Amino acid sequence: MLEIHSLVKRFDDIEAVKNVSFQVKKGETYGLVGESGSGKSTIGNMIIGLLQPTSGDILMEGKHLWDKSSYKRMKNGEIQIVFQDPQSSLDPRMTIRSILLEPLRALPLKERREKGKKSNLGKLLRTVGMNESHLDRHPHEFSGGQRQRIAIARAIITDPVFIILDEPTSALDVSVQAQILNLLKKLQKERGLTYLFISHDMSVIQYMCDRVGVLYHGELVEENKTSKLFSSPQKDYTKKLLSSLPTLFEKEDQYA
Amino acid sequence: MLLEIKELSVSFESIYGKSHVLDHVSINIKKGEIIGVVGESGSGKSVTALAIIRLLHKNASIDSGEILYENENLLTKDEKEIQAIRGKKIGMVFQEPMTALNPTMKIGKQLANVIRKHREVSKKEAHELAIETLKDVKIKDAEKVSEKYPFQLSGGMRQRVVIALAMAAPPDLLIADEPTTALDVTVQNEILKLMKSLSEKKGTSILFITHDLAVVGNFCDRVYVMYQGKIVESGKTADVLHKPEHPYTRALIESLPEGKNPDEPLKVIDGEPFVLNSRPTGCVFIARCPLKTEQCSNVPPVRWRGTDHWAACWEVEENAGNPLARKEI
Repeated sequence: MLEIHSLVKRFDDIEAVKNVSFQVKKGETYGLVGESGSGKSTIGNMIIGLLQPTSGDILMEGKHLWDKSSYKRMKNGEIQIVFQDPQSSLDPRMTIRSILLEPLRALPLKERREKGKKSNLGKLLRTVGMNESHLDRHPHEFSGGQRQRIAIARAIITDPVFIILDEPTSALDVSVQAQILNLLKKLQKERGLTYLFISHDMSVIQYMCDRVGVLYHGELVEENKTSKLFSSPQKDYTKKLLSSLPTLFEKEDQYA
Repeated sequence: MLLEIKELSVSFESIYGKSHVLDHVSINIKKGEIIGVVGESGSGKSVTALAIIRLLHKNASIDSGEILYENENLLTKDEKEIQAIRGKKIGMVFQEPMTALNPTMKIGKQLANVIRKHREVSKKEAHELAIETLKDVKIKDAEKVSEKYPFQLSGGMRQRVVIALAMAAPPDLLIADEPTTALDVTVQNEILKLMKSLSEKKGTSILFITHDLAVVGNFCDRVYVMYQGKIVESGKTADVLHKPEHPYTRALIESLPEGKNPDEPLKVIDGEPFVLNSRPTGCVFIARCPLKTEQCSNVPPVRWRGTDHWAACWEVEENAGNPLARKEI
């Protein structure tokens, strides 16, 4: 579904993404894991059209997303993104209704009317575990978990086929994280969604992803099925990442 | 006992009225021990830390309890006496290292200032000690780093410097409030190793505050689990993590993705924490607890499960066969 070939992004003299290639298959969750500065969010931003690649190709169902400096999708709203911090990704002055309606502006009038109907908005909010009584409220009236549910509702209103999840639970408490991870899995099943799951948290990646790519200083150093990557990591960096992971299980020498 | 917090209750005054944020919290720390306090946002873990070093905001009031440091109550000391303890006897490390450092002063000078505050040494000696302290926190090229400003260092290096500052005295107790939360996992691992080795080398006790149960796992000797201002369970780390008793601790561990089957949904804690000014009179977890019964509207008793291990819950059965060290609460 998504193919990335020799992708490079340079900021002045820093190469943030170095010759990265990978593919995401339809219906799967592909995890991109890496530490700060590894380029994982930069890759997400190039796919969604927020950053222009320096070189390389991004293809969605065989079609180029970037044609020189212009970003084109086959259909507007087919790719969506959910960011880490719903505090800053939701405009505090907008009501939940206008937040949800905003992505529809890019769609044709007929579709916009259909999807923007009150009954549809109510249905959408119930899908993410909220309800229509929330429509006229503002983001500050909700908890972090609820705000992330709103951000997810905003992402699925255009019926996307592909969603980039950029650290969607990193700002949340663990008990709320579990609710959001369950919701994301449920939506994927019901709607046949494909996810690119960006995270620094290996245990979340292990639970959510079918395949994983490990980024280190802008390079994709290792890629494998999740279970294989965790059971037999090949590269030193992946091994270091896994052994650094704090664990509930007993591991006497972890901090020795 | 190095530090004993006894039945500490704290509330905040705001336009919405009085909110009780700590409810009879008791924590004790022995010399050289590493103690974890785990809780989600709003559990009161940071308020506990700030209360110890008397840095609570003006609108906070301490309603009851004592904080005994080497048998002296910190709560009755005046500002001058507290200043002699803060930094020198009790060091602090917070989450964001950038805010703890002076952005306009070179690292070496900041450290030397702290050292001169605590010890009778000349400027030159203080500078040499500063470099020694940087070496203690495993900073390579300590001389070079001492000539740098905070913004020239990475997050991990900055946190090492903050730990160096906190350990400069060296204190008897280090309070570390989410010291690795802003750091990458490989860096976190090194900082935790460093803290553990410093604790062993200098005999410093650590009060380690975190939201992350997994970090506590192999780092802390004992752990206290907090929920909305109350300690709901405490015990040796292995007991609490592997034989959790309180329904909240159990649910929290269940909700972590680590080691869970990806084909099954994670167990979640239903509902949301209560709003602070509508605190329940009985168990704090009552609204979200799957095991609740009628008696839970009364304050739950402390039920002992083993040496040092207890949970405050009506549904937990006392383990009578165990020789219990109740004095050790």
